Amino acid sequence: MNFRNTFRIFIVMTAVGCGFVAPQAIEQNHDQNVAVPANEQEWTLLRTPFSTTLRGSTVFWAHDSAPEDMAVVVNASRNIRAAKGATVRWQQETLLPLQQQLLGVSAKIAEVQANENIRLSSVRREMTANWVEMRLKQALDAGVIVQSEFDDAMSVFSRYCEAKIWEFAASRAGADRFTIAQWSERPTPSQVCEGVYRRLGLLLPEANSCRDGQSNFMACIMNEGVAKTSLFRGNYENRIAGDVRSKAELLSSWIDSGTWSYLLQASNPERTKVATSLLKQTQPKPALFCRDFNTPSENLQTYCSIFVPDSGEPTDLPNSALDKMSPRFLISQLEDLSLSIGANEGGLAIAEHALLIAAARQDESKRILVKEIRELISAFGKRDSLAASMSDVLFNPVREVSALGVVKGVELRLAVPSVADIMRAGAGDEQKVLADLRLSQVELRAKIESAKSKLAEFDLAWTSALQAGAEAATKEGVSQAFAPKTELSLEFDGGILAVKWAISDKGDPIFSGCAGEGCGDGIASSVVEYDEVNHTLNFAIDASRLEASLVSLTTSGPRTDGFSLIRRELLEAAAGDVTIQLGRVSNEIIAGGTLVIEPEAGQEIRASMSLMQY
Amino acid sequence: MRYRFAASFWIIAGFALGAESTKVLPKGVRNINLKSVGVSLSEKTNSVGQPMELGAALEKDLTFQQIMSGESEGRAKEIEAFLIANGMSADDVAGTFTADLRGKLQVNAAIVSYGLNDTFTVAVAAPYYRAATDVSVGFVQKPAGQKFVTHLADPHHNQAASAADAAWKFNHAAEGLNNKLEKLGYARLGAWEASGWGDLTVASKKRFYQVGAISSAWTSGVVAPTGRVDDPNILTDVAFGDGQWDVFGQIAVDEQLNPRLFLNQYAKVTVQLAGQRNVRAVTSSEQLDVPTKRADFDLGDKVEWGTSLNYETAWGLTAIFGGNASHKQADVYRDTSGERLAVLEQDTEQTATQVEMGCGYSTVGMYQRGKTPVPFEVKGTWLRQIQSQNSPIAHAAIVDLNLFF
Repeated sequence: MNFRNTFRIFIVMTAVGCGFVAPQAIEQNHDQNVAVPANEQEWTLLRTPFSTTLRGSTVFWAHDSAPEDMAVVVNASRNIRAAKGATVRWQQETLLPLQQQLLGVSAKIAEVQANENIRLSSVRREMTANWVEMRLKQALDAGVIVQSEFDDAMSVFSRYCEAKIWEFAASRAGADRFTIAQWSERPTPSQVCEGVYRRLGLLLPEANSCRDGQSNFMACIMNEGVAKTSLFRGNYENRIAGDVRSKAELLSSWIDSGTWSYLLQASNPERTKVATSLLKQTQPKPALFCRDFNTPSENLQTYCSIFVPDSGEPTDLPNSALDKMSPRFLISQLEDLSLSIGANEGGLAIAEHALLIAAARQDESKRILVKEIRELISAFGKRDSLAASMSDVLFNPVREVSALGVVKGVELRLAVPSVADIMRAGAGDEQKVLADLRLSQVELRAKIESAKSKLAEFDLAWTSALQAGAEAATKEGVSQAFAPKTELSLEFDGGILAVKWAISDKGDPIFSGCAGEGCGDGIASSVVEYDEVNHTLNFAIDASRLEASLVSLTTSGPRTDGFSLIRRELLEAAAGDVTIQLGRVSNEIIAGGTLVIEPEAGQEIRASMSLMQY
Repeated sequence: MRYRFAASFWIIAGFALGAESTKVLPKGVRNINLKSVGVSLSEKTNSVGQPMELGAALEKDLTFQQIMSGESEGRAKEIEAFLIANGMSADDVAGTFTADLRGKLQVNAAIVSYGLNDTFTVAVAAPYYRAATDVSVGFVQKPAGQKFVTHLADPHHNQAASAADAAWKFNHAAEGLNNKLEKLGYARLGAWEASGWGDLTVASKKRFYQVGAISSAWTSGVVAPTGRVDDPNILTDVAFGDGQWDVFGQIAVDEQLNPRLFLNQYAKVTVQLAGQRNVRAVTSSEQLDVPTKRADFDLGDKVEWGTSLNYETAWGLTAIFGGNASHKQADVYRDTSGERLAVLEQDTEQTATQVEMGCGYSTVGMYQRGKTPVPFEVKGTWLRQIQSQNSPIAHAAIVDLNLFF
């Protein structure tokens, strides 16, 4: 065998080696088990325009800070967010639902009440409108009063009702509402008087200016009310020159031109002059209908003044003197229950036998009758100062509930037996529903008060957490600077997210930039990178601008308020990188982040920030 | 983390020259011995001889401390502060790497011998290696990993992006490890394959005693560093050579027990001379992020001994049964400044004991009797390792072909 053959054999053996099969390792398990908890992750920030400012603090870690000390700050920061979250959660999950429930119950009450009022309205209206005459007839039938007393009482009552028209025309409750056309039907000066108005032909619904749906019932009140009262006719009608037709036309023209309203509501000398000229009255006196007229303001006078003849406040006038009484005086006499009709008291100055008052001084039955009538009249018709009357609230349908003035002493008025009788008239199951709803309303209000107290506790816990965080962050050796007035402003509109970041409330923001297509106009330093999946913002800052803010920190107060030990020369010409993580606690946006400045290779200034909405 | 394959040493030792017998070639006779050795590797033994997975060195806990080691000092402190704030520690284990490492080695060696006279033979051996390894790395999560991510994602901590990032890294830790290796200049873990010449051996054997049934021979030689050495940047490669010169000497004694049976005994000492090569200066705390250094090394000297019974029939059938043992002293590594690289020296003292059995066919006897014109031997041997320390468990199958001309 020669060498060549041997070599061939070697080649063959090498070829055997070519059958070499590489080993295959057993595939190892790759756990994919670590999962990010899904809570609070699925939210979208840039969906609709919004603007918010997050506030908080930034701690610049000391180079030699111990992780254990830093952990205290991390924990404090977490506690702040937790406390804030608890506060917001309490607001959103407890207080707000209660408040919404209360709104719902209140709305339900209003709805039920409104429905009930509509249902009962006609019944009560009718009862109220005829109550005084009905009560007097009952007394007449029962022999408590005689026919002459009945007639006199009705006469006084009719004058009162006419005076209520004057009052309504002059009162703010009337004038304001006329101006803004709040009434959907012709308002009544007092529902108690509606029977009288029908009988005297005043404010009749058949009159054009008094029909439902008028945009302004001023003409109705003036033309079909004031102008037709005996008070007007007795004092003014004869003073206007010309025949009846021309007088009517003149009145009509005054109404159309607003002169009527102008005159009736004016009290300044210029208007007085005009009124004197027109009415040919030498010295008309304004009579104030407002009860609170001792110190009338100019505005109050404007609304409460009306030119009427006023014979002063006679204390002992004959019945025939009714024509001479001013509307205000007459109204006071009947509505002001403080004016007693006691046997030995002379305070009630109405005519001797008007509305049985003189007789009532000697007769207990008549006294009771007069008391009942005056209580009813007062309860429904009395307007204190600028307030509305109960008649306004119950019987004057307005387009907006809020347009009604406040009614004073509702409980007392409703407690008047005759009023209570009227209010109960026709009441059914709805009252039970209303009672239950009102009970719920009371309970909810109590719960809301309790929830607000608890909210105050949460607020206190949050404030304490903020304080603890500041103390931990400013502990010596932990930080080299602390910026307690860090702000991050975010504004999203038109597809662009504008970002401003500052660590001091003095001077311009350290960073002002934006994210989104077309933002920044190619200026690299103002561009923000926004990761909409993880809700992170990243931008670069010029550290020299940070330096300026740190200067303001140094001078802003003690260490706990803000301090800086950072060697500022390190910041010159250095760049910083800011990464901000946006998140949510109880649906409120919060932010945390880091600032990293590398003034020299291998040397870092690191800061952490925590921000939230407050 | 690094696993050092030293398979070549054990596989080649002792058989490169067929040096364990006292047989020499007659004057002017040439011999080519072709050997083919196949070894599969999946286990090794530790310092007390217990078997363990070959990839055990890669199976490491991943602690937060290790995670933080890749961050800046400031960032690392922030992470540690976060851990402390949440009742955790930097020493907590986020997960454990698992690994399966397997290797396969095929050596084809040509040993050319020549009888200078009837008692002195010279030889040259050149092994050609083909080696492949494959490693699969996995990662098993520990509760601390999920706890860390959960705390990060807690809205009160407001670290959603970091939580997502950490979760992704834990869930792709093996990929992360490979990326880290790549970043640090290592080859990615995976399949590796190479082939090439190993260390060249030049030796001479002198039969200096033959009286009656007993003969004795002395073999000596050198091993030249011609094979590829271990690449410090490939964690699972196989070295085909030591990278330094060896000098060895061996004494063998054969006793012819009867015409068909003889007993062989031998002892061999290999002195591994000092050398220099690149290593990763691993430390006990960091095994990856370490610099590559030029190091002086002195591999431990080796002592081998063995015995075997050999049987040969008149018509050429042969059988062998024996055993051998070996011991290698610990290696010494120093960087160029003289500082010891202790971690590289750990677990480098090796022992191994093998039993050997084989059979073959030889026409040498018949050739000497003029019965055949072609003298050759063919033999198959199975080497089974029965004990070892700090060594791969390597059972080898060897095919020998000896041609004489």
